[in-house]
Amino acid sequence: MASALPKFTKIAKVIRLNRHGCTNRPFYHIVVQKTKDNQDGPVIEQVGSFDAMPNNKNEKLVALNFERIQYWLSQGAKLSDPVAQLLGLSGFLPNHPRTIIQAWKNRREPPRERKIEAIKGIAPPLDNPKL
Amino acid sequence: MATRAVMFTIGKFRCFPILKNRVAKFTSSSNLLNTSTFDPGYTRDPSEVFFKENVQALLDRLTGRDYEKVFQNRKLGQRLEPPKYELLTQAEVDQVMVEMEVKLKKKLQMPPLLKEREPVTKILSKDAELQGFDNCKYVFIDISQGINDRKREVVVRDPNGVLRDASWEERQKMCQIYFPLPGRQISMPKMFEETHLQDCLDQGQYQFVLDRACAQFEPDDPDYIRVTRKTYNCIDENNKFSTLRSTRHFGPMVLHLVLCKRMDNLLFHFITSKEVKAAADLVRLFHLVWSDSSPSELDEFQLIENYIQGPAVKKPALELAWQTFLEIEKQRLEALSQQNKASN
Repeated sequence: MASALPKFTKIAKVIRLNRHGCTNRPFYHIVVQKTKDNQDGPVIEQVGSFDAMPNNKNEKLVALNFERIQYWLSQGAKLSDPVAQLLGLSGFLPNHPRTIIQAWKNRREPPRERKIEAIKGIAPPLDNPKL
Repeated sequence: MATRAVMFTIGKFRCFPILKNRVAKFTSSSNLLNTSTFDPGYTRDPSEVFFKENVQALLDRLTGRDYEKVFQNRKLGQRLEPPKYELLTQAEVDQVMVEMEVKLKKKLQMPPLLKEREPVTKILSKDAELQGFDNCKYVFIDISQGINDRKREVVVRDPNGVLRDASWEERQKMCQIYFPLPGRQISMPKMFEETHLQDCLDQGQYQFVLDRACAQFEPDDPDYIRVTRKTYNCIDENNKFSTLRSTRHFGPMVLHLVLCKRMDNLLFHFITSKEVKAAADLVRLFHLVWSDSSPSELDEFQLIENYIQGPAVKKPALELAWQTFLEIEKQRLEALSQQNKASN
């Protein structure tokens, strides 16, 4: 019965956003969790918070416990994309490529609207039934 | 937090009928030293003088030690407890007095007089590639344990991609949200705006205003300096020095008046209430602050006379008060000597 000892596989830990708050009002906790646990499941440690709704001064507030984040990164925890983006914005990590791409997309002109010409006698275009 | 704010407003500002006309007449008719409340009074950095040991010692002596007043039950929204009576030996009483002395020193710790803080201008990084990543700015605070709030990292990423140190207002707001101090609100209470502040001071709520300013602001905050200077000037104009005696605010007020060269009202107050030691200490403080040397006269009476003849601004009133005081002293000494002769 020597092989009856259970084998413990090491489950990866990740630092990610857990959505709290309520309907139409998100508030995220930045937590360290095992990857396989649910978003509302057991949390190892909370290392910060992120308020996604801007306040009356047009600010989004982010709290980060850099000391503990450093510790968990040293223990091999992974970062989810949004958390990595926030850490890039705060200056702790380099700028995330996603933030750069999103900024570029926001600055780009919106694509020109193509106007669909109606042909008389044949069914009108869907967006203008009066024609 | 909401309940505490309600306590401050309702408890303190019950319906006082403010006779504004009467108050206006009183302030406009008063003394020669009536400068405007927006006049800073001096450009010197007060912290150079405030932290000197001899200045601190003098301010401590001037503040006084009225134990009844320092330890009185104040209605600040906390539960009041009935007094405890204990039976103690003399040795135990002495020990309790020693402990009380320590507590008293803590209660009478003077908030410092500092010059206004410089605005924060440090830019950590300019990332043009991040322009327009979002419409609003992101404010980051480091919530690691064990860091002093003044050293805590608070940075802001603006929508134009610039990463900078947070301004003093942003920093204080963030620290108060995540590490709240009791008695402090996140945004400045309406009480400290000019009109409302003037209302509070007209009602004579000097200690309340100063205590709340102490809780709300840092000592080098421009708002703190504005509020405290206005309060000190108001007390000086209305001669209400006894309201602050034996409180932690008396020392800073005296130093402010000395730096503005407006201490004559206070000297008048000391002479008329026959506190010669306090008057002499005040004159010594004046010499320390303005000539950085202690005066050579050891006799207190001579010291005060020299000041009245020399640097005083309100000479007529002070001379009259001083002469009156000297006559009363002479009569008192004569009466005493006659008593001694009679008893002998």
